[in-house]
Amino acid sequence: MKTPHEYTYTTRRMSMRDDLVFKSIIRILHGQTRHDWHFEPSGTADLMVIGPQAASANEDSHQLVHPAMIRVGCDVSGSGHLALPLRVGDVLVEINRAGEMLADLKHTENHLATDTIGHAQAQEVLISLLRWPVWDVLQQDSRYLRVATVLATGPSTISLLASKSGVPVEVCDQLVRVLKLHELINTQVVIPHKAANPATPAYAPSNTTQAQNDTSSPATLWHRIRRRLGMNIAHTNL
Amino acid sequence: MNEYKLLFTGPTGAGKTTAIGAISEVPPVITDVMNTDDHVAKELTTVGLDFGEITLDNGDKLRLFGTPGQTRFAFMWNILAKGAIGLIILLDKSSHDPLADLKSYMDGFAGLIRDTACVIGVGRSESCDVPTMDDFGRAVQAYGMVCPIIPVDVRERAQVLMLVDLLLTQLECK
Repeated sequence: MKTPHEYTYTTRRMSMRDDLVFKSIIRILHGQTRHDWHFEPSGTADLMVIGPQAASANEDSHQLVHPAMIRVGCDVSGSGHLALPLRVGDVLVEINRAGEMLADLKHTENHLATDTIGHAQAQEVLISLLRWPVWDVLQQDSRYLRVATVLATGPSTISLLASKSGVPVEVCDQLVRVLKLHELINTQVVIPHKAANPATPAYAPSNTTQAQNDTSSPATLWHRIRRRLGMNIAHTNL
Repeated sequence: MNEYKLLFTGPTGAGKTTAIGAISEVPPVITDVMNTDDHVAKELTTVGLDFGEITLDNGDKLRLFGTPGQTRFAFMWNILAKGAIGLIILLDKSSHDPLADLKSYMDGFAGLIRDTACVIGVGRSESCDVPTMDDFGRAVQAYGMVCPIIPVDVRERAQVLMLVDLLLTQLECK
């Protein structure tokens, strides 16, 4: 059994009522969650819980990007999302999921600090896209558009970007370097192995032939739309 | 038979009807009347909604809906957004205030964008220097989000397909 840790969470863009309910649920669940959680009003908390309300005028959107995030106000709870009204069971599942992710991150950081072998793969970095890149950046390589789109869906490592987009690791790395030059990303060290094998539900990279060749697995709706529109064959010109 | 819905939205004259027509397998049903808005150089304007469709492999349908562009028809947006798989916002960079246009659709479809995916296509992107494409990116960033924002000519089927491609790419990653 893993050692429980103490983590902090903060909330943004939630109604007073939902904010109060969420904090109350966390207090009620004290002792039942895998890790211990405390509220931290600043943006330096381990976990960001973000609601559906509009941003305030003085909000720094950069602070919203965290490796561990829970979005409140979705239609269905699960995988980092919580539906309204908040339910104790759903919050328990999501807070535990966030805690495990943070524990894994901490484990990796400790492992990297003591690893004397120093494999290059150990230094994987979680990348968060802050803003959509200007067209001049993406036009440099047509594959950049796909990689940037994958990165727009949430924080990712380069290896995971390559896996999801079907674009070679080297090209993903090139784009990340360009984005860094333009100050369009945040970075944080993460687990190399866990990130390369995501626990999230299966996805279907657009240019893979696996779904086409694997006759035993049912096609996803997205794959069927692509096939109907001829997208799996060739990407459109930029 | 299952039916799925993809929404196109944007201000009057941004190209929603044209975009749907570019990829629909049937001639889109267009509910147009004579345009009475002097500031929009169009003879016709959509006052109901545009409708196109694509038939998938087992007969399932992907319905393409274009929302009325004028904000006085915004009451239809929530109705149309229900159950949609994603949203394509088409903007006209040559319009009076394209950033305000973007904001109105980001606000009007906030729930759909949050729960599914969104792609923004900017038409007439070479027509003027401001706002820049980065200005659109910063406007979206202010909502704590990132989504693809690309210049597009919706008269080109390949470019409309690119918008759909980017939408599907995001949905596949969720």
